[in-house]
Amino acid sequence: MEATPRGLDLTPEQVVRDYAAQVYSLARRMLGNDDDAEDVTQEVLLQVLRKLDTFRGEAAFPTWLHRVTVNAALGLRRQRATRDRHRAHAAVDDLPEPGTPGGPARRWSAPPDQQLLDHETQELIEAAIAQLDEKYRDVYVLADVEGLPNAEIASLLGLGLPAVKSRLHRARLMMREALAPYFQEAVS
Amino acid sequence: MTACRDLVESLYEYVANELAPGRQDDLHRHVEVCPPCAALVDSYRITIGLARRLAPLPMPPECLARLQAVARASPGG
Repeated sequence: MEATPRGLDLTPEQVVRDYAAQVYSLARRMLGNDDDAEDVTQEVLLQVLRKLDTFRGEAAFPTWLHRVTVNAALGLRRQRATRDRHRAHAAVDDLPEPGTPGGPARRWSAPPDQQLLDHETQELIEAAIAQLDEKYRDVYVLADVEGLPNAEIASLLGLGLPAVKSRLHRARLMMREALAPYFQEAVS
Repeated sequence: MTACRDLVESLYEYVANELAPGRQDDLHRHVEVCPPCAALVDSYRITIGLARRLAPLPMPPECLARLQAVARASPGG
């Protein structure tokens, strides 16, 4: 979320055009379904419309937009959890640290940095993200997908910095584990 | 194997370059001569890099249409 509202004449339609997609994408990754992501996007955009005057031309806007989106997503998730306590899938919480590396080195091959990810790779990664337990997914999405600094994530999620780092590390290990079959080169 | 274990325990900080310089250099020297540890570091970095290259998730057109309708109905729309 890098854009900042420009000028004094943003209409509600322009707010939707400029910000709906990024709010939706973050909410969708955090919540895992279209309907909830749409609810959050609508709630956030209405807040943007109400408070646009406060943020015109200010660099603080992207941070605020992240905060409002994350808060709305967490709020909706809390509502869902209260209503539907038993649906939460088992946490993939017990992934051990990787063992001491040994045996044949299994190197990875990944698309060159300059290339866009193809549709299949994109879907593979999205599916792996969706499998993460929420507490890891939130940190992972905000850090590695959205590129937010750890201190900002700590503030957004009400966590200490060590907890953010620990969750992020474990999320990366889980993602690495999930993606390994697709990116690991065959042992020669 | 002690160095391998050290790397695993400090993997996050090593990749983020957050270790004290001497320790960072020690682990770097180890990674350069240990193919399994090099592969671990490499795959961890690729995992991070892949996430950063994800495109935004596309919004369903009907969702965008509903949001536009809400915007039109709001003051100033």
